[in-house]
Amino acid sequence: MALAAGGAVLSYVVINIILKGSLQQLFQSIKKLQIVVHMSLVNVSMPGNASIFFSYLLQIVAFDVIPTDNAYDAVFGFEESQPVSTNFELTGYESVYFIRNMGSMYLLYVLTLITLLLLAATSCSESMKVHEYRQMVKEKLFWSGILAFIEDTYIILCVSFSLNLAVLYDETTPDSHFGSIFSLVTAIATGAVLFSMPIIVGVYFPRNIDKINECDIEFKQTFGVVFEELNVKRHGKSVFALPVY
Amino acid sequence: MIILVGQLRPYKLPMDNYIDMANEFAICILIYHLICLTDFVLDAAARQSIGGSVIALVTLLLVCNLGYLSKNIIAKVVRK
Repeated sequence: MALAAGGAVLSYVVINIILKGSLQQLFQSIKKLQIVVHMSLVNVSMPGNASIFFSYLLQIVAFDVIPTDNAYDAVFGFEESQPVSTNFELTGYESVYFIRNMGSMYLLYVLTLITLLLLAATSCSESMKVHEYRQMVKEKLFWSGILAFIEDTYIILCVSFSLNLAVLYDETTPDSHFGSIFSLVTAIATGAVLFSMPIIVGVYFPRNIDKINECDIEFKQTFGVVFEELNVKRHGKSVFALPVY
Repeated sequence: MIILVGQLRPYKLPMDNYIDMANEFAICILIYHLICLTDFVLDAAARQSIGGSVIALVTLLLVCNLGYLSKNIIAKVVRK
């Protein structure tokens, strides 16, 4: 069942990319499934059949397509750490380190950093083609790409961030090597974004509601991912309670 | 969340509102299942049945969501 669902999701993504459609509806469904899968973090003993089912479902909803654990261990030198509980281990949070728990999603951090460096490096170029590419990448990345990433992985980011903070209070976890400190700094930076995100959405978008109602193309391209599906014209500012929630 | 979506109907497409409410309702029911998985229920057979019920409900949720997505994508392909 989970494999069939994975196949269906993959084919939906491929067809949508071919048709140049939006993946927003798919991510909305995946967000609900993320909540369902994270339900098994609650400290009750799940029956075996449900645990196995959730472990298959997790592979679809966690976007963990590339096995990265060994690579991260080699690069960051993470030492063996015990998972918080069996429930966390079964849900895929096998470590307390933010980077390791993020899995292949952390590669998007690296990709964003590389893109920023490339944008900075090509800023002096006078070629028209380079300028067009820069403009296209800027439109995709700022801010719709980053907002979509945070919105669709919010629950995973929150759990990973909280787990990494637990290192500060746990004396048994080794915490004085480069990987651990780097992971903690990344977690805290991400945590700051996570906490400020609902405030920004709740304040910034209602203030700029005129731009949304007037169909400002530039504003829609930049932040459209937040209000694309919402009926802002009919409900006004109150509709932003939903993304904030 | 159900109250928010039910009162506001915030999505442009009416079906999106219904799907969102159905999802939230399913999550509520799933959370009720967790109560049955605490130490109050020690019977192994009963726990397996509750596990089966959880799987059935999540499968229903998955089928509804994927069905809706498939319907949209087929409509898009036909339009093209």
